[in-house]
Amino acid sequence: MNNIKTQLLNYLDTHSSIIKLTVNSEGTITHANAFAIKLAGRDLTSSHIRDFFTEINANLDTDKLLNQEVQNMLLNVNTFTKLPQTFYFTSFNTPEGMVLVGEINMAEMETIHKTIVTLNNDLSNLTRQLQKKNVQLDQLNQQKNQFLGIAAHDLRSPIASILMFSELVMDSNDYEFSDELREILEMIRSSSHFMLRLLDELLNVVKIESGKLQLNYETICMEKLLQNSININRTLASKKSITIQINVPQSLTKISADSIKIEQVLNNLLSNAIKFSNANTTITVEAFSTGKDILISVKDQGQGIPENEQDKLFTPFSNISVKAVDGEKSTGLGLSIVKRIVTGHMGRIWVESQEGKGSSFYFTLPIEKPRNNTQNTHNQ
Amino acid sequence: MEIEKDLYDSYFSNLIQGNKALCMATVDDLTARGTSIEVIYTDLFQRSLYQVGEYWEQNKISVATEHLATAMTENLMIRLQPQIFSSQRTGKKIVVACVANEYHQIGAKMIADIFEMNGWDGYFIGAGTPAEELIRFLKSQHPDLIGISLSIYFNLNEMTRTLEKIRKIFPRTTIIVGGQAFKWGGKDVILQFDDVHYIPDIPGLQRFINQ
Repeated sequence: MNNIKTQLLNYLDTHSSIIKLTVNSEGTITHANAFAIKLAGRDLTSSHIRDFFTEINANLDTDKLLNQEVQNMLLNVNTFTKLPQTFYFTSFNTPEGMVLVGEINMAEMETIHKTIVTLNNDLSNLTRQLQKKNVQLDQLNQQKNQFLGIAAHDLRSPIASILMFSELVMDSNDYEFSDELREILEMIRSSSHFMLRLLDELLNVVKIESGKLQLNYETICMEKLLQNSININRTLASKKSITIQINVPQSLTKISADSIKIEQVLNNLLSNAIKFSNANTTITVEAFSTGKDILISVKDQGQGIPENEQDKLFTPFSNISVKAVDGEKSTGLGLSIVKRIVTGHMGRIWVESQEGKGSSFYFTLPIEKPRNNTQNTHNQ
Repeated sequence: MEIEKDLYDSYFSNLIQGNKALCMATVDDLTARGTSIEVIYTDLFQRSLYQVGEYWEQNKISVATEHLATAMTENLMIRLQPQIFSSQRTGKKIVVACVANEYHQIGAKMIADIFEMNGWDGYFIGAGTPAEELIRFLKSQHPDLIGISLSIYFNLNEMTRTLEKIRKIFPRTTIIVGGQAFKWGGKDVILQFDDVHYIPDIPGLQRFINQ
């Protein structure tokens, strides 16, 4: 029996989560167990009981305790987490002095446990409902893409006919038009041309959103691609007396990418730079290798983009305050397509811009086709 | 069994080694080949988790590995949700729970998922649900069916108490029970309650839903 008592006392002194202090009649601690020492963070022997309660931030009149006026009490104690926990304290007299024992109030623990279980149950159910809603939203998004795809595709043919016939009529020598009528025909032509572009870009977005961005990887010479793109845009630039400079090292390594898609990216960035630049300015196109990637930049001396609008640039139909210098039309989809093409290649795209000074668009492309690219890919 | 032995063995080996991507690839491959969710649940997830349990009992793997395998399986189940949640709704509801102190929740989640695939709204309210909590939730949902899962035989008394409490408030709602615990007995105790049905496995559950 004595052996069990010794083992129990030993357990209380060394391993338990119960505070146990022995105090003499003056209030000096003559023995503190390991948990009390851990709580106080120091050796408590020879300290006054008042200091211990002050240190653990518990409100107790220790004089009344020593005069046997307080025996059972609930006290809030600051524990290791620095959060107060309620301890149930009992004191009793022994030949060695007053023994003070404090243990965590189980009633409070049970309430906390119940609250946690309730929260956990609610959370499990809410998580499941949220996952279900996500699936439903995803299905709705797919339906939206499907609808948009069908609408854009079906609208494309009649609009292409309008464009074709308006061009046919305008180019024909069989008719004579007044200036007013020619102006109207030109409006029909340019509007249908814009609508056709808008529909093509919508179809592009739908394709990409439905996970149908297909990349046909081949080895490409970036310098050639840049030069092509500059040639395509040079007429547009020369109308505004804009100079396009190219700065690419001759030794620039070839990369593995989808040349048609990358040319689409370059054309978009270049035509944007022209649209948003004033006359008699310069656009600089640069490319260089960073080791694993190549970095391409298109820098203009245009209006620049306010800082708070720069994040919106790559989102479809984002409404930003900067307008094209000569009122050129924009579909609002170009940069979102550009971003998806670049990220589809596992590259990055970003903009640096200062209002009144111009914008620089940067994008990177891995030199080698990344092994972990999950995009639909074909090698040529 | 529709899942080939080699495929199962490599999945199990990847599961206990924590190779999440390879386990994911197996599941994706099976779904791409048109394997039904019931088969994936029964012949891949359930079978592998039972084997994980046996390995743990035989001290072949640590408890940490067992928990890792469970967590990975739960993640793989989430991957199948687009198929699970896309059925035509029937307007029927089931609330599924594990009794208090019962923390093995995958079986209960699978029950809720199978009902979802059959067009029911399957509410799962987590592991270790005290009877009072379950009743609070049942009062808010008024389901057509209640499902209770039991993995640990020692929690049988808790299940009995839960059934008694449910029956007092919902005397006419059908209840289904199931889980690994019943391989040690206890069916006779449960079936004393009116309109309480024991479901041994996923095919049995599908038969019950079809009825």
